[in-house]
Amino acid sequence: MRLADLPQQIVFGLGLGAIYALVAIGFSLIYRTMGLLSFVHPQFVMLGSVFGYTAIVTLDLPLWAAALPVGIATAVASVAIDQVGLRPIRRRGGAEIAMILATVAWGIVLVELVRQPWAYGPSALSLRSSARPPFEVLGVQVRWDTVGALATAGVLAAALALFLRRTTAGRALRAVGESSRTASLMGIHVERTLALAAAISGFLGGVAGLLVGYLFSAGISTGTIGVKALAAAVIGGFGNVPGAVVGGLLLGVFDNVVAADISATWRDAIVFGLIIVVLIVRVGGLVGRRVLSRG
Amino acid sequence: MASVTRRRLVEWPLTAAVLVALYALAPIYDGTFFLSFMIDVLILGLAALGLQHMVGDAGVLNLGQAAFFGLGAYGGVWALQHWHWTTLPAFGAAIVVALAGAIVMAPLLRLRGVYFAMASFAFGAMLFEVFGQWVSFTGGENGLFLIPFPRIFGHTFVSNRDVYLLVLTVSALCYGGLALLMRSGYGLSLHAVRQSENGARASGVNVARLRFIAVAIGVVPPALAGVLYAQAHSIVQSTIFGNDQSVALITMVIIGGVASRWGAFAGALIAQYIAVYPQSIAQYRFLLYGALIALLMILLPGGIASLARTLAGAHGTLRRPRL
Repeated sequence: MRLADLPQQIVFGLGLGAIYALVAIGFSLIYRTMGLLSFVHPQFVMLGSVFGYTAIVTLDLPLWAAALPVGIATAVASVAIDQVGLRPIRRRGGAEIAMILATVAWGIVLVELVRQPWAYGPSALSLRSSARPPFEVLGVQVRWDTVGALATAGVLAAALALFLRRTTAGRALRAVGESSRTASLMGIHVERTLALAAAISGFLGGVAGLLVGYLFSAGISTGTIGVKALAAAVIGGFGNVPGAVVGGLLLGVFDNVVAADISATWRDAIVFGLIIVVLIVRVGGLVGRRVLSRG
Repeated sequence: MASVTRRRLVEWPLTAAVLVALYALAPIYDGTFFLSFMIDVLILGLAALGLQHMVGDAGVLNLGQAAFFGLGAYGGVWALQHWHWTTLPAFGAAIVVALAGAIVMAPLLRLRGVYFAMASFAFGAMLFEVFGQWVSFTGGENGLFLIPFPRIFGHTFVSNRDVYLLVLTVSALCYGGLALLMRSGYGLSLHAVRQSENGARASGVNVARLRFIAVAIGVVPPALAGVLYAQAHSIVQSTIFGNDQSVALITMVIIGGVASRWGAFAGALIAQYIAVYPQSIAQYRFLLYGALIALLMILLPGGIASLARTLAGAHGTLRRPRL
């Protein structure tokens, strides 16, 4: 491992980390509000990436203009799945495993829909033909992609933090996260709030997918990046939204440093191993102090 | 307990009848594709049977079961290919390797609920990566080839009828073994923990140890299934031991109903049928599969066995708490 390259790896890693952070926020938000480990969530990254293909390649939108429609389209898909596929189980007080499997099943449905030749097909899609040349800060090359991904994640995370703290709907969301029963006694419409949580996590996942498509490629296999973001949510403390941001950035850097300096072959195994280690050592996550009572 | 006894009166003859029917398939469908299909159904059913024991009997929601299927396959194949062992000792090697995996999983068992689900998922994902990358041991995605036919006591199982009979016998033994175990003190302890964990603990049940034993027992059928899979197909590729396989296995358990041992095989039959048969809609078969699971979770979260039990009017005799 060459120490001189380390700053470079860290900077590259932050771009990836911003994506992980966006996805991890969604994982944590869904868990906070619904108490659910959602396996359909990683597929919103996949959905965002192919929607990004439509926006950027087919409709020829610039990247910044594509973010909003892609995010909204993914959010719509997220809410639809929540209302059609999960709400009936929730209403019946279905078992945890039924909920988890339902999310897995919807993930399969999404991937298989996108895989169809009349949709996007099975191969990876490229969102751009060229990238702007990187610039240098203190001898470290910085790609514009990295800056863009970090800025997007920063803006969205800040907006979410403001929303959760300052608005009524945001406070309602947090209240449901603490206790949905108490919240409903306080006059909060719990189902509507859960739909809102699904919308927000879908939106963030979709934008993350757009960035994945732009930084790497779009297509049905991009969901694996979403799955790895689960590690980010765990590092940040599963269910801890600000922790998810920190966890995402840490994971991005860690992932990139491992890939560059330790082993590109074993990077995914190491990331999944990290989930296990964190869960054994500190269930509440490495970042936050709080141990959550859910689960 | 009268209702339980009545259930047994129906259950045992029924099980025996199904078993006889399954054995009768061998001469009838000798050499056909259907029998090869049934071989795979039974192999997957075995892997799901071990998972059913963990999930249904011990409440351990393992989302990484395919890892044990893989560990068994690779452990067994190593003994078959490098040490030229026959099938029965290779089963032993497979069980040893799978148990080593269970020991690695042991510290995760103190996690509960979503946290264990997540950890076991990561465990499965990690081992899948190991299977794919550790080429000198597993052959990676290209796989290990030329795995010999099953051979027991000097008899080599070459035809698909012979292999089917072998797989069916192993399945029946595992099924019966688990049924007996659940009637032993161990099974009663598990039952007590399901009823009330604190109550069981107060009565002197070591819950942590019990959960580990359940996992250790639950890795045996998939380990055997791994060896049988390798020998029936004469090839193993790491791609079949991924998270989608873990998901498929838990789906089989849920389709069948977590509380039902035969449900694991019924689930395997349905899942494998969808994966193989609808040729005319081949392009949509996994879409159909996903949609079917989603629908099942909404309409019948207790699985087919719950439907069967409801229809039989015998539900509620052995209630199991929700997971």
